[in-house]
Amino acid sequence: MIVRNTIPTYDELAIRESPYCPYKPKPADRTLVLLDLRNISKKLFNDYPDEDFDFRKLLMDAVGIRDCVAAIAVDGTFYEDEDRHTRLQKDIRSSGFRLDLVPATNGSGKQEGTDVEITLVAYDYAVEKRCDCVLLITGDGDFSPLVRRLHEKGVLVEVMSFKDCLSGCLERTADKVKLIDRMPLIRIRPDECEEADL
Amino acid sequence: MITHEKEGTFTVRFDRMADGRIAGRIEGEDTPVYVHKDSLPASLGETWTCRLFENSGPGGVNYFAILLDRLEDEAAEEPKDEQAVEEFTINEDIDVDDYDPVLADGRKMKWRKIFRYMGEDTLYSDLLDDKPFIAYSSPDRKLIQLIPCDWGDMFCNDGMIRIAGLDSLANREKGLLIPYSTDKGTFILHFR
Repeated sequence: MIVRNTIPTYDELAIRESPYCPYKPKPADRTLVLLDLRNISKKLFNDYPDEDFDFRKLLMDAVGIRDCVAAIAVDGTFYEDEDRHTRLQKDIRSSGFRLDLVPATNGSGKQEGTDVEITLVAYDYAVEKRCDCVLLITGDGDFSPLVRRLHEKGVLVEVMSFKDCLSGCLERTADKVKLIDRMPLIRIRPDECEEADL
Repeated sequence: MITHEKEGTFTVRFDRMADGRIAGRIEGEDTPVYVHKDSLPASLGETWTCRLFENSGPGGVNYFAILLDRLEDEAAEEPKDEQAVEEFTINEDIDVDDYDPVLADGRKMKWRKIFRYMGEDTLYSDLLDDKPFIAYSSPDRKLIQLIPCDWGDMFCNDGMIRIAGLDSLANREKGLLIPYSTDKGTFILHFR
């Protein structure tokens, strides 16, 4: 009989600067991944316009050993720079996300509907007990009430976001927070040797 | 399927990658030794005393190790590395023993100083095999992940690999020792 060595657990007692998370990923965890593309793309277009950000690796690293029941990216249909967003949406589709486009809900083309769509999808999965864990890739604090409701349904909620975009309220509410800033997700190409400015 | 435990404890040096996993061998035997999933984790270049469980399956016989104690053997870890870069100024300012950063998911990583910056966007390590890699950097420019991959676009020759933009990460200091960790057969390098 092999007994699991519990020594690594005690390592975490010494790590006081990062929050302790008792929830360890297991292969049997059914995970729903929801990507708020509007939230993430704003940061990507502003700070990493010429970088090759790999959404496929983001999805793979986010899910890890767990069982992915669905990976859904929610985005709007109206943008100032449609070409760039069309390319992004194509990239998202090929990275394994199901793309859910929400039409503009008012005359100015504002996309308040995307947050509602994400909330409805997450809540439906939780109520119908189709997932054990919801992974929200967004930093929008508007999702804090959703996180609390998902907790009430017995669903773990993990948040991934850029540090600059992460709402303090969402950070405090989520069970686990991962910063995208610290994840190796930008593909380095050899032919960029002379030009790249990492 | 684990069939039985090999009697006694054994010293195993984990010094290579096999099938995307860290592997080692015990002295006098060619049978590969892998770390059991329920054991303490091992990094490349480490030597441990272990209990071994023989495993026989369609792929042949191998051992799964339950790690007990890590043996400190710094001198044996870097002989090739030191020899290969002796012409460069070696920056020994980094004391990685006091520098074990915490990843975003709370895991504390053990960094080892076996990767070395050689200037001109080039890294050297005797851990790098001559094969293609895929490279990723983190948005905050502090991590680089090297993933061995048959269809990768970054090629390693004689333990040297050129990575675009590395100069800006490594502060252009030749001989800089770069802490690294392993994750699922990949190398994660940490730059300050």
